[in-house]
Amino acid sequence: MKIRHQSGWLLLALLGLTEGCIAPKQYRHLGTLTPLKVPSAPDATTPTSIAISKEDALPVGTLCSDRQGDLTETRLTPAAFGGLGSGPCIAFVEYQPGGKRYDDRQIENAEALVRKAIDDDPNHQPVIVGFVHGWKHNADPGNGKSKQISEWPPEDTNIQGLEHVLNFMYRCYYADPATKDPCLVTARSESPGPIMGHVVVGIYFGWFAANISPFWPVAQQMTVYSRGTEADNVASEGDLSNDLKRLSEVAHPNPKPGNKLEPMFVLVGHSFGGRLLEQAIRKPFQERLSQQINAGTPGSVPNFADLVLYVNSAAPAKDSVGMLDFLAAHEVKFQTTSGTAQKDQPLLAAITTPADAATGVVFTIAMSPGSLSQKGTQTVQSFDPATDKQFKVEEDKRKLYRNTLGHLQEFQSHSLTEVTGKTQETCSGSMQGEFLYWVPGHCFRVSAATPMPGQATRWNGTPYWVISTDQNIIPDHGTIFTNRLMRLIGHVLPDDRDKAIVKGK
Amino acid sequence: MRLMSLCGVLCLLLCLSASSCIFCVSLCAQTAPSAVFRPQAVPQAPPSLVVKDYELTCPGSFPSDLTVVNCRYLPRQRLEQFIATGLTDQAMLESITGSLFTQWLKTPGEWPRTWQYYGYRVGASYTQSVGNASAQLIVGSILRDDPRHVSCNGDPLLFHKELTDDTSFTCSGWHRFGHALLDSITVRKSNPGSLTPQTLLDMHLASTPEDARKKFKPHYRRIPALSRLVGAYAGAYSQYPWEPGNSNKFGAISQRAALTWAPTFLGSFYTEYGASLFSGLKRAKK
Repeated sequence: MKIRHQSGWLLLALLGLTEGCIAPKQYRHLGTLTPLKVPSAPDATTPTSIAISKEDALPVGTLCSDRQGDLTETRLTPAAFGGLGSGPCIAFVEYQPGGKRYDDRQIENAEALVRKAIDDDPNHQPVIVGFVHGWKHNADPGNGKSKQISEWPPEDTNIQGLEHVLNFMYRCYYADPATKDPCLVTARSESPGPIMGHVVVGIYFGWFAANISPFWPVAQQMTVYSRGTEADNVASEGDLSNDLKRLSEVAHPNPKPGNKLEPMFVLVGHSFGGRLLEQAIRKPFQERLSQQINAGTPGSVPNFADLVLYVNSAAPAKDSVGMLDFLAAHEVKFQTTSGTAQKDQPLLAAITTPADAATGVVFTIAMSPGSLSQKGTQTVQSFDPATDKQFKVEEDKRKLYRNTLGHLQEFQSHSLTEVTGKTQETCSGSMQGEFLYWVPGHCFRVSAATPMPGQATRWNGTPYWVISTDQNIIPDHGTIFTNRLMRLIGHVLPDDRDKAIVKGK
Repeated sequence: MRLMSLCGVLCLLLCLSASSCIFCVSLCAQTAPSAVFRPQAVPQAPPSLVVKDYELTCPGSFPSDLTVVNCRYLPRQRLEQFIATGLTDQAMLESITGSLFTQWLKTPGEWPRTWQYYGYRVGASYTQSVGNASAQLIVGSILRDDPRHVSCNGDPLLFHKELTDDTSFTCSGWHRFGHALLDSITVRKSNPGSLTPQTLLDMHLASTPEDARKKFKPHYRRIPALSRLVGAYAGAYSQYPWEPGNSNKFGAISQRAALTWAPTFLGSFYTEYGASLFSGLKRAKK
């Protein structure tokens, strides 16, 4: 009787267990719409309230139906240029636990979307954003139907975030020919005259980063080790790496077509997605860099991507210094070659915030036990193009193991300092190597990092920028889909791309 | 009594089982046909660029968060909060760890420091958690309040205080402390929100700054946190069957209710100072 009584409790406990678990699966099947409808950002059409009903919401990419049909029948061009004003579209590529692709046709689909975007863009220069989501996220569409918002359960918040960011780019700058006041990119490299609208598309890379329901928040936190390992496994399997390479070859074909401005191809990884992206991209990225360094004609080999961005990345610094070593050892510079001055540009950037407790505190605590097995120091190559000086520094291996690159001051390429007494009007402008950046109530100067005490030059002057921001720009680990961060990224994005080339030894 | 003890054990068991989910493995990986895109013909020009530097501030969100387009506290958000904080492992963990503390304090005094009474304490604490969360869910739904904490510099009412120049209002140290206190005893009416006063002026929808404020303020006004108060008492009263007689008088119940406010205070102060704390720690480390 006692056993029977207690088995009832056990059954309840098992129920809790099964409810808490999320099984890995492919979320984006035939017949689902990508992306789902999300409400538009507030705009002038709602003068008294930003409340936007489902019916009134401007779709983000809802016109990118994935019903069977020929993608080439219609155009992705903004409406103002005779297209259909379809808005941004997102293609999904998903990976099984361990890193194998679920379905090869997903990457073919993504390639088709990128080709279509290039064809339809007025300048053949669309914006292509690849996003690798982070911990506790996946490609879950919720239960949304065609042209509906999925309210219960909701679409994954990282997908919603990407949709809003693409929509922001589409509305704010790239699709709107009516303004010459770009809010995303600080300088334009297009010819004078009316600014042409651009097509914006996204590629969302989904992996098994959420295996516990958010209804079990404590258990979810404890997946930090297993999901970190999963990110490593997906990267080492190689499918994601190959897919990034395939997309890069479509967006930035090699050899580079003469005098043709390429699409803007940006890859972003957040949290464990940053860790995954960093590992997955290392080999193809370094291969491309080698080709660029060894090319007979400088600038004839295109960049792998215009920017690879890690936001609040949860990758241990030991994984990141490999790329820094490569860039420093080859004295890689990415600079504009014409105009008034040579200006350094980033190929990769790690942006983090000291207010990020997840990578700043929890990550360090979680990695500390493992770091005990690390002994001694590791030699790290350093290079600063300002002095053309290459040198080596010794760094504690444990430190590299339990900290992310963004949280180590010695690797900061740029520093951010608050400037007092400025208003929105006066807090603007950029000069050689630095720029001013405004968020309400605060004006920041972003400039080359000052050397560490006892050093003559900064450690990291490579095109792998490492910037620690401020809580007024990124307030925590997950709040990254914001206007404030987007505008900062706008400053970091390479400008004058057609005039900038990679050089090295 | 036996049942009550078993309830405590159940809490432990559920918590352990939830933690075991960490080791969840691949169960039903499957493949399915992929798809191609087909844009549909809906001619629509891109909307106005007026929004380009728009910073919407909702209670509980960071200014300029692009994903927030409606400040309303949705029923699903309220339900998620109820499940995650009142029913599942967070509530269990709080019960288990909090009961260690009350065991050490020997509260209530009639309960000795034994495993059996530790079970009672866990059971009583978990029941309180469920009672509190349930009452907050019900009362909050009826009142349609928005209990999310917001930092002083992110508070729409303060954030958009200045209209005459480009310098936004920033909170002083005392402002922040007072705001954190106020935020723990007040909530807001769940509301879609409003365009900022500056935007209203920019768009000439308000003739003067005062008009703009009048249009803006009602959308973010504070009300007493009645749902929290009812939840605190409901949680305290739900412990009634567990607690010994002396602990079920109104005074003792009020004491328990007051104690359950502690997480709310901590949450409010964490919202206010969390980012500064971690930033400060990093700076100190450097």
